[in-house]
Formats: sequence, structure tokens, C-alpha cells
Amino acid sequence: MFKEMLTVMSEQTAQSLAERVSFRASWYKEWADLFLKAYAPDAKVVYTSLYAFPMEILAAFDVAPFDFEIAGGSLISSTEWGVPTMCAAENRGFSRDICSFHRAGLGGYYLNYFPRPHLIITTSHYCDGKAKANDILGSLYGIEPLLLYVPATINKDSIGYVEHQLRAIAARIGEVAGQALDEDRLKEAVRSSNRARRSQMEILELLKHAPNPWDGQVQCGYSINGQLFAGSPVMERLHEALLQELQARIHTGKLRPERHRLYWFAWLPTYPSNLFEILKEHQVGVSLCETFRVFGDEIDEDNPFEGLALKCLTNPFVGATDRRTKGLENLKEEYRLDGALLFATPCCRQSKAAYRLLKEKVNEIGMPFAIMDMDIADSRGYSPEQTRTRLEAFIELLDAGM
Amino acid sequence: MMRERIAYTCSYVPLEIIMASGFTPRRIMPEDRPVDAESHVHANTCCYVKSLLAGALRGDLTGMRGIVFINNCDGMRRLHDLWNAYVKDPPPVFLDIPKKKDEPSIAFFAAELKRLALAMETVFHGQTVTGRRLNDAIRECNRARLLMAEVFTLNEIHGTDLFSLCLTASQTPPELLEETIRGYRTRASKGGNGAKRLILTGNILARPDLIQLIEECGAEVAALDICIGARHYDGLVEEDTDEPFKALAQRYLTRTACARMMGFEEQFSHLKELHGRHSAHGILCSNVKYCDPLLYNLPLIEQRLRDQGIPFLALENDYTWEDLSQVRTRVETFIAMQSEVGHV
Repeated sequence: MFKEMLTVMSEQTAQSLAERVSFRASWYKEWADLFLKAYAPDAKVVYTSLYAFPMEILAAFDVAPFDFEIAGGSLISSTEWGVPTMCAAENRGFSRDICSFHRAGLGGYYLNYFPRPHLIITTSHYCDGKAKANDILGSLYGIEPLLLYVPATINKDSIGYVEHQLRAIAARIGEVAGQALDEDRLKEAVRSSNRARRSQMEILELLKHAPNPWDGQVQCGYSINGQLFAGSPVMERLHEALLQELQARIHTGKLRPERHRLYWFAWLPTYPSNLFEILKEHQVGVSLCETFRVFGDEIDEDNPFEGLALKCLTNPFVGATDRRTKGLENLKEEYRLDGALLFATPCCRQSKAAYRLLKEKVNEIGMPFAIMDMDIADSRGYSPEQTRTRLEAFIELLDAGM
Repeated sequence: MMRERIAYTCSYVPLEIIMASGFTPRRIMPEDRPVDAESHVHANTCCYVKSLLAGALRGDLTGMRGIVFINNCDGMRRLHDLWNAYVKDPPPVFLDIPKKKDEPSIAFFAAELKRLALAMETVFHGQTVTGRRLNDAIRECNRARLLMAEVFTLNEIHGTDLFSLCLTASQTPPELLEETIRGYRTRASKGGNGAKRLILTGNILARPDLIQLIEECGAEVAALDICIGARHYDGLVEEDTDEPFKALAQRYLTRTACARMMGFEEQFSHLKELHGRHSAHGILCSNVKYCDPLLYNLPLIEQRLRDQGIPFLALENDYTWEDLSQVRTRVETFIAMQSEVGHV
């Protein structure tokens, strides 16, 4: 079923692109096409946590990356198949107290939706659940998963430790791919990633424009799932296309009117909901998602493993909560922010357990804060009325300037 | 003179370093209601973490010299963040710990342990952790482990007494444990007498209610595979080595793993081995609500045990075991079913 879904996604976006150039359609097409490669008979399939693992390393090999969590949680859960897929895991005992992203991913395994992996790589960040979901999946497939453990603090030892693990993982990917690591190819992947980062900085500049030129829902989704292409020319092309699209929107002035501008913490619902519609209805824009921010420096092209280790270590979802609010005072001014919202999916303990620290920081710099308790992928608890009530109460606060 | 105490919240914290810096380690297991912390931490967070925070906010730990947090799970890491903001007394230090046990992970953890030793001196104003002091502490802890291991292998102490010993031991300086154990072995009543034997596995269990309930239902707890139970005492640290930090890192990462570690297969094998070693009739798992690592393991554990004819029951709880009536029904049924299918 999932392969067919990807095929339809690829065909529909191709048709759409034939009619007009669109960043979003290009992104979806690349996404579908890359995941489809994992179904090819001769593909060397590497499961990875694409939003956390430095994909530049995979880009240096001829392998087909696949992410069962994103496949289930982002793609399948955006359709009517989401809940039945989760149920396939729940019926085997997986509690609804574990992340719906992982339930959807594990359900996809049980329903035989996904290509068989040759290798499973995961990371300790963002959450305990992800590493464990990969551990369990590894047992189901009879493959020992490789874990990239990223410590909470940055120092000489942690950099060396992550670098060592990345080298070992690259060697293992090389074994699966049947090719030794080509250092030049890795360096080129890093250079590509750095070029994409520069484009991203330009995009971030455009996001300071009021009214906001980019839909917050797309921004949040792309900033997470777009990491699939880090280190590949695809990401450079997508960033460039996005940049041009945003510039054109600003140039033509065809932008949604905007009364308030938000900073968005964490994720978004992948199933259809009225969340962003309500914001639009009230002329509230999402100016900046934390997942789209650039937290680290450029990757050292001459020392790619150390540079990639630093990329992992500076991830805001590693370590203490205050990493996530770093520089928020300046962002408030630069992006003319009026408030902040934390999208809090029930089982994302790492993101929301200490939500009060986010709230107090946001309040301290003079903005209202809302926590939106709503599942990321499981639509069963979704209530449009509750969503409206919660959001409109927050918008009243924004209106009152509180 | 009584030594000052350093609190800790996880079995992966190396007690030897606390002792070598001149302090007494003390495992914190508050009786505070988790709900009392929900103004500070999201409700959907580990109940043990919430109870710890509730107790600390009430000032339960005032008088302790410090507390060591470890990056054992998301909940505990966030508790450290909240502690820094809202509790402060006693002051915290934070220790990282990998989720795997290969050589690079052991080397990294050894470096972290050196940092912890330094923090004992600079943050808590303890004495310098010298090689000699650390090796002395290693010997003390090893001795405590051997003494406890002897108790665990005796296979004769009533589960309630065994749990009571583990609870007391978690609050007792390792160097004073021998006397405590001797006292328990004298007083403890013997288990057995044909009762169904169960392995009790899981995460943190701070109250005897469940074990008492199991015994009231006519069964016996043959082994305690919980945070303060046998896992805490498993494996010795190499003694009198020039690299005591590495020796500590080796032991703490390679001891019987809790669910936080990667390696489901090994964790499952351990459970099965425990079941066989104790000639048990079934396995009961006590899991504190919202403990993700254990939650992910449970379905596959249950399926595989059942495939092998080993009865299994997971009992989710709120850490305080406030409502035992529903648990009683499930435990009674579980034990009764073993009789019916001839597992007695």
C-alpha cells in the first residue's frame, strides 16, 4: 500500500510540476522518489532517523535511505490509513502511551508496507522512544541497529566520541553498500550541505518580512522532513526554489494579511486538522519555526566527521531545554514576533516535560505563550472544537497584547 | 561524625565516586504524590520524576549536600532542567551516560566519571577523589554487591523481606550493609512451601504493596529484577587498577541492563535466564507510567514469553500504587490462570 501511495505522490507532483513550478511539489516529488528507490530490487536500504542523523554521510554512498518513522508518522498518518496502521501496532500490545509516530512506523512494519532494511541506524536524540523503536524494529527484522549516541554536553570528549561513532557507522554503511568511503565524495556532501545552509540563512532573512511570505505549516514540515536531502544537491535545489518563490511572493505583494506573528516550538499535526486554518482565519502567521532555525556553524569541509559530530551536538533537542530558547530575545525583534506556541504531542516527553521553562522564557521577553496539547499523528483524540477554543483564547491574549 | 549525604535518582550513578569524595550516597524515593508536581512539569511525564520534583519543591531534600542526575532518560534530563530553575537546593550535577557498551562508549563514560569526580570537589566541596580513595570505595561497593548477590541466590527469603532489604539497602551506606543483611537474614521468613514462584521485573518500585498483594494471592516473589533489586548489584568493578574510572565505566555499562540501554535481545535473554534460574512459574512486570524505554520493550517481551509458554503480566502503576483494587483483580486472575493451565 505504501509503495503505491508513494507512486501516486510522485505521479501527481510530476503532473503538478508540468503545469507550474512549485517548491512544495518539487519537495514532495523528491521525497516520494527517494523513498521509492528503497523498493528497487537491488537497493541497499539503510533505515535512518533522517531528521537527526547527519544525512551527509549517507549521501556519500550509493544507498537508499528510508525512515520508517517518517513513512508511518508523516506520510501514512496524513491519510485515512494512519489510524489503521497504528492499530496494527496497538493490536500487538504497543501502548497508546508511546509516540504515535512510532506506532505508525511499527504498524507499517507489521502490515508489510516497507522495504526490508540492510542496515538500521538511529540516534539517541531527539527522544528515548525513537532509539527504542529502532531497537525493537531491529529485533523484528533480525538486524542489530546501530545507535549514534549524542551526549548532552559539548566538550572535547563528546566531540571525539561522536566523531568516532560516525566513522564506525560510515564504515558499516560502506560494507553494506559494497564500496569504501570516498573521502572526496563525503567532503562534497558537506560542501553541498554548507551551500544549502547559506540558502537557508537567506530564506531566514526573508521570513523577517511582514506579512509572512511562507506558510508556517509547510515551514515546519519541510524543516523536519527536508533533512532527508542534507548533503545532496536536491536540498540545494529545493532551497533555491523556495528562495525564489518567497522572493516572488514578497515582490508581487500577494501575501496574507497578518495581525500577529508567532514563533512555533516543535511539531505539527500530520493528519488533516483546523489548526493552521484557524490561525489564518484570525490573520495569525507563523513567522519562524524553531526546527527551521540554524543553530550550528558551517560544517568543517576539511574535517567532515568532526564537523558532522558538531552538527549533531549542537542540535537544540540534545541537552538542556534552554538551548531551545537561545537568542529568542533577538528573534523577537528581528521577526517582529507577538507570541509563541508549543505544539505538544502527548508522548514527546523530551520536548514538553519542561514546557514551563519555555513558557517563562517567552513571558520574560514580553510575549504570551500557549501550549497546544494535540497528537502529532493520531487523529483519534482530535477535536476541532477544542482546538478552536484553545487557539482563540490564545489569539485573544495576542489581541490584548498580553 | 556522620558524613554528608549526596542524593541520587538512578541505579546507573556510580556510588563509588560519591563515597570517594567523602560523602554518603542516598537513593531518593519520595512518597510525594506525582500530581503535586504538575504545576511545574507536564502531567504526561514519568510518575517517579514527578514525585521527585514534588518532594523537592516541598523541601524534602533540604540538608543534602547535593544531588547527582544522570542522563538516563528524557524525563530525568528534563527533571535536571527543572531542578536548576525551581529547586536549586540541594545543588545538582549532571552526568551523561551512553546507551551502549562498546569500547568507545566505555572510554567516553570514563571521561564523564572523571568530570563527576571533579564536580564532587568543586560543586559539593568534597574531598579530592584520589586513586586510593576510589579503589577503597570500589572494594566497599564490591563487597556490598557480593553480599547482596548471596542473598539473591539463596532463593529462600520471602519476597516481602527481600524487597524490604533492597529498600533499606538503597538508603544504607554500602560499607554498613553487611550488618543490615545479617539482621534481615536472621529475621526473614522463608518463602516457598509450594507457592507459585514469580519473577518481579520492571523499573522503580518504592513500596511493598504489590509484593504483599502477590503473597496474599498465594504466590511468591522469587527474584526482584527492578531498579533497586538484583540489577543494582550485578557485576563487580575491577579492583586496585590504575584506571579506576575506566573500571567503573566498564561495570556500569555492562551490568545487567535496564530498558534504557539499547539491546532488546540481551534484555529479553536476561529475563528468560532469570525465569529458568529461579524455576519460576511466570513473570510480572511493574512499570511506572510513562516510562518510555520499558513501554517499547513490553509487547515483544510478552509475545516471546507467551510463545515459549511463560506467563507474563505487565502492571502499569502511578509509582504510589494508590489504587490497588484493580491490580488485585488482575494479579489474582493471573495466578489463578497458572493453576488452571498446570503451571503449578
